[in-house]
Amino acid sequence: MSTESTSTVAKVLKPTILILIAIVAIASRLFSIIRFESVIHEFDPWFNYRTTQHLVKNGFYDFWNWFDEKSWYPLGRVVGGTVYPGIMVTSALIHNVLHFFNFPVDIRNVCVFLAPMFSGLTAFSAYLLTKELKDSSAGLLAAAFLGVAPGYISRSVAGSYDNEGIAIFLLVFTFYLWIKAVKTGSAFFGLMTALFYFYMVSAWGGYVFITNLVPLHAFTLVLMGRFSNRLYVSYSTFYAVGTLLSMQIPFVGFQPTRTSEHMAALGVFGLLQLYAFAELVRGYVSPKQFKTLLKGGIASVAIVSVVILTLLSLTGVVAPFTGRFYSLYDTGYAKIHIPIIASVSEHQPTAWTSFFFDLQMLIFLFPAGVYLCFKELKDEHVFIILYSVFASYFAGVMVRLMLTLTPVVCVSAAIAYSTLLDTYLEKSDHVLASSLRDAAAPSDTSDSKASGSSSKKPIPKGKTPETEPKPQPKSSATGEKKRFPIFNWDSRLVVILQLTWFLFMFAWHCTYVTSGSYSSPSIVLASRNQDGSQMIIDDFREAYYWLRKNTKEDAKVMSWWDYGYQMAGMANITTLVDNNTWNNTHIATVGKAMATSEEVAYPLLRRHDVDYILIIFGAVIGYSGDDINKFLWMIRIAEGVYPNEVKEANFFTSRGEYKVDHDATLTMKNSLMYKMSYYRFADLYGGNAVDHVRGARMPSEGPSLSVLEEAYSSEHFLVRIYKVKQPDNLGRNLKDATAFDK
Amino acid sequence: MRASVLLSTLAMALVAHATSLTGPRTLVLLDNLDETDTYLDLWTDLEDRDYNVTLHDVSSPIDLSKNDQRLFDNLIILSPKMKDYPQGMSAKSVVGFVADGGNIIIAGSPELGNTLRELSREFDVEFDSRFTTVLDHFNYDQDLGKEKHDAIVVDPTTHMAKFDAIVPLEKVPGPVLFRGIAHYANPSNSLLTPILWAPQESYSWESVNLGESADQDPTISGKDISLVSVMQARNNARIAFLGSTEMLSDTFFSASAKRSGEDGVVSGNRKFIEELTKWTFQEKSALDVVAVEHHKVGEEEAPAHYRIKDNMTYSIYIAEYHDGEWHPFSADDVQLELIMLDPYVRKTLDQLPLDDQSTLGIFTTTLQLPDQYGVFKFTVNYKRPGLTYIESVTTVGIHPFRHDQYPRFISQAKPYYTSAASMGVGLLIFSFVYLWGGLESSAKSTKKE
Repeated sequence: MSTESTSTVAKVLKPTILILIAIVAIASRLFSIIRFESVIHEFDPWFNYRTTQHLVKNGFYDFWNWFDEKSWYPLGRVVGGTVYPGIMVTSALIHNVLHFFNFPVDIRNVCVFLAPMFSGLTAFSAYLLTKELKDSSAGLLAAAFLGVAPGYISRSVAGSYDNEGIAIFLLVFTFYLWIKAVKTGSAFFGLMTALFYFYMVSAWGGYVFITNLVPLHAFTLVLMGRFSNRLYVSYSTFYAVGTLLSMQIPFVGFQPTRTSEHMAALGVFGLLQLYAFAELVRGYVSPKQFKTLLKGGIASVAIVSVVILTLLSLTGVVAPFTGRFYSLYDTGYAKIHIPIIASVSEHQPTAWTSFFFDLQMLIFLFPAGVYLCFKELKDEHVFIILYSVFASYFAGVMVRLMLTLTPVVCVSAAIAYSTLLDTYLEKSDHVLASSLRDAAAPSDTSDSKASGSSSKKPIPKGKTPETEPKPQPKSSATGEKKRFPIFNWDSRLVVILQLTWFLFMFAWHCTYVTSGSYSSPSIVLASRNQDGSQMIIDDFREAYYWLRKNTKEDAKVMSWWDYGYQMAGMANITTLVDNNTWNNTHIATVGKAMATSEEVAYPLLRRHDVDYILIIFGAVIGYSGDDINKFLWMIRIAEGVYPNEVKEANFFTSRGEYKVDHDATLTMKNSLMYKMSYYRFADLYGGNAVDHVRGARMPSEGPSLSVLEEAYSSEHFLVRIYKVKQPDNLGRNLKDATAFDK
Repeated sequence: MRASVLLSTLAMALVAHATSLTGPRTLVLLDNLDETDTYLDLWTDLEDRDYNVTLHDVSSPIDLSKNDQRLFDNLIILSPKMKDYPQGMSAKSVVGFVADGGNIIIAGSPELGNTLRELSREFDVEFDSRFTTVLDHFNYDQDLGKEKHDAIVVDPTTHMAKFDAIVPLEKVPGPVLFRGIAHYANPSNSLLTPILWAPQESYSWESVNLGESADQDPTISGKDISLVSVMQARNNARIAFLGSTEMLSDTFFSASAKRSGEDGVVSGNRKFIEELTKWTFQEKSALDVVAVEHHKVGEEEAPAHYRIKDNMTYSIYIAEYHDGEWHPFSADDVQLELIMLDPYVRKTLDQLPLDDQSTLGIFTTTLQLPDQYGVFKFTVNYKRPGLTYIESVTTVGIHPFRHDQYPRFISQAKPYYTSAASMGVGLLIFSFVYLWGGLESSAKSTKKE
């Protein structure tokens, strides 16, 4: 078989495979829609969805300057300045383009399907990235892996309209462009890197990862003595343009010049300038003089920069690391100092099983891939090594950062897997033929190096077939040198079959995990009846709909911050706190109102004009994510601000247990949250109630409420809404008034 | 806006044909219809002021409301002995009557039964034990209290609260005669105000066996004894408590008050009760916020939201009801507060001068909004004894600057503008020189490298 015909087949196959991968990636993210319906999931996506609606309805100018009076009542939120607008602008753009061509697509559907669409693009950029590292067959593998890896699917199923949905694509693509820029030394690719970096900055706070990883790569290259004009050009272009662009996002603003997270990028930029200057000087002076100059120069620069940095840090011009950042170094930091960060489940350290759960076989191919990178160790491989080291660390520290690890795992696993395939799949005659060609190989490789691999253009979905034939023979030729031929078909077969088996298992596992764990919208719960039939628990939407229809338009609803975005999005009412946890004091005030007695809480509720309180109560159906289980965090956060009025210790029994039944402490029983949760709960079971979440037998006499009255409880008591009473008409205290009315 | 204000005032004036703002339907509960003749003057006074007085004895059933609609506007309970409510009534229905905006006068007597005692407790009014009377051996009336010293003469100049909104002093021509039970108005209830209290020397004691020597102190004495108290509920329904049914009677209306050693003067009871019923039944001192206007200085319409540091004008139109008509309300202590959790601005509003034509009191001020964005409440919280509570809340958002509302060029940044411009120019010059400026050879040499 001639190489010509192979490449013709490859020309057709590659785009086809890529398109198929994209389809699979999209399709496997649709479980939630098929099973439930086309809805926005979880919490944060509801905010993104609401802002997108605002953007589509009112235009960009209004969105950019949107001051949201309905959240953080009465403080309000400057949405335009506190949001990463990337995802909203993207979907609004798609929506407008579609409407321009008279496709009347609802913005909700754009939002729901955005993340799956972008996952297709992510797979494609993984292909491009891996192709730069090894060859296009590894690229295809990487694309396939990343397309279905649960670690990425967890944040990009249909309906999960979150920043990460597009940010992972941008992350991978920016890295691809960066590698391309370093390889070619082209200012164009540097510029493209900067542009996509800008897009990334506009889309996700995780851009800091790029801001640190790219300079680190550059720095490492300099340390390895690999400083080159290519590096200088690409990094300088990237940094200058990228930083200026990133400062255009109001939420980022002057951070690139003021916060410690961004200082590494600035430092490396300076270092590269100095290094380039030193290189220039070296050309004009004798080596001996240069040595002295260098020593003096380095010492003085080091001293000066350290002094300046210290001064700036001390005077507060450069902000110290933020709390979220500290918690990356010390996992216990947040728990002690910032309970609000620790209270978020996705900020918890990762359980080791979830590595396997999210990445399956990739996790053990991953080190092999990194090892292969070490063997090659070109500039781009250094990048992948650094990326894998840091992403591994971060993924171990915070659950949600598994997301940044997944792409590099897929890429290195693809390299490892493809190397294995290359070794074992190679036809023997081909191996022989190529070993015969070995003599010609050195000139071949040197040629490819001389041209700076610029000939290796990315294949934009097979549209430029002219450049296609080149990579194929070349890569096989370069790889061939290290390979030893394996002639025995049986030994090959064993390995190949095993690898294929792994692939099957991987695909099966990915589908299983996606369908079982990551496709629940969490606003609709599904459970099984005893006869095995599915039961849909739709209490959240039921309650939010009740709020939407039965409260006056400007009603203020207090709840724990978890439900803020959902309430604003679904019930369209004013909330006190929401998932954008920017004001700890305000959240602590809500926590205090929940954790104190009615008499203490009532003035607080009045002061904040609270009309209704919404709580989640899972004891009836055994929903463990309810407010009583989150209550300790409310107490802790409240204690952080009001240490004299809320004390965590008072909520534990003398034996140090967190109890809700007969043994519950008086403080617990008097707290508003406890009262609201268990109000009329015992009556539901005729005085013989069992809390199914905490497995506690409740007292037959439930708590009584006087400053609140029950307004609504959803079908399964999952959501309970209470109305805050007005002060008594006759000036009695509400306890007496309630007693009188009974 | 102003036209609509006038229209609504007109409409209100039409509605306000009845003298009472609440309405004319008045129910009087009597222990026994035989007592009707005791209060003939009172009925006359009320009917002269357009009230439909329904007299009713407590033994026959009566409903205060039907289908959640009040059947009466005012309720006078002159049945202190009442053991049980008439069928159809209950303590809850009376409290509900108040919640619906109905006004109540409750009069007690030494024979006050438990029913009313418990009802009064809901209003933080505690009557003294049964069969006790307010006694005063110094200020008793020579005629009516000759035997027991129980009809006491109360001097309104010293023992009446000086709230012109309720009972103005000049309207009461003489001392008020009182014979009845003491009550204690709980001072912690801010809605409740005693307006007539007993002289310093008086005390509350059982009036049946006065001859026996006392072996304990009276539960209440002196100025702690409230004789008449009023409450204005949060919904502005008005309630009056009197310790004496007799002070409403014809006898007391026409009696002359005479302390020992003094000449008799005509008692002020009739006028006092007239003013008290006028107040209780909302014939006067009722305020209404007709409109609230606010806009930026130099504009007319209220904006959807303000921007920080905007200059704005706030006006509130308040009318006062008395003598069957709405009049402009006058005051110099109406304050505006801008509240977001805490008051950011607190300013006294100026009243625009009144002329013959004006029907509304216009209170206005111009102020600069604070440099703080958020959702602010423009609150006028005006609560004065006797007057309708005014709590006007207008919620308005104060937004930060939009991104294009900041000054485009600032003088402090001139060095930076200069440096950016010079950098650009320098680059241009450098490129020109480098490309075409006779450095041909060096350019070539670098290319070769």
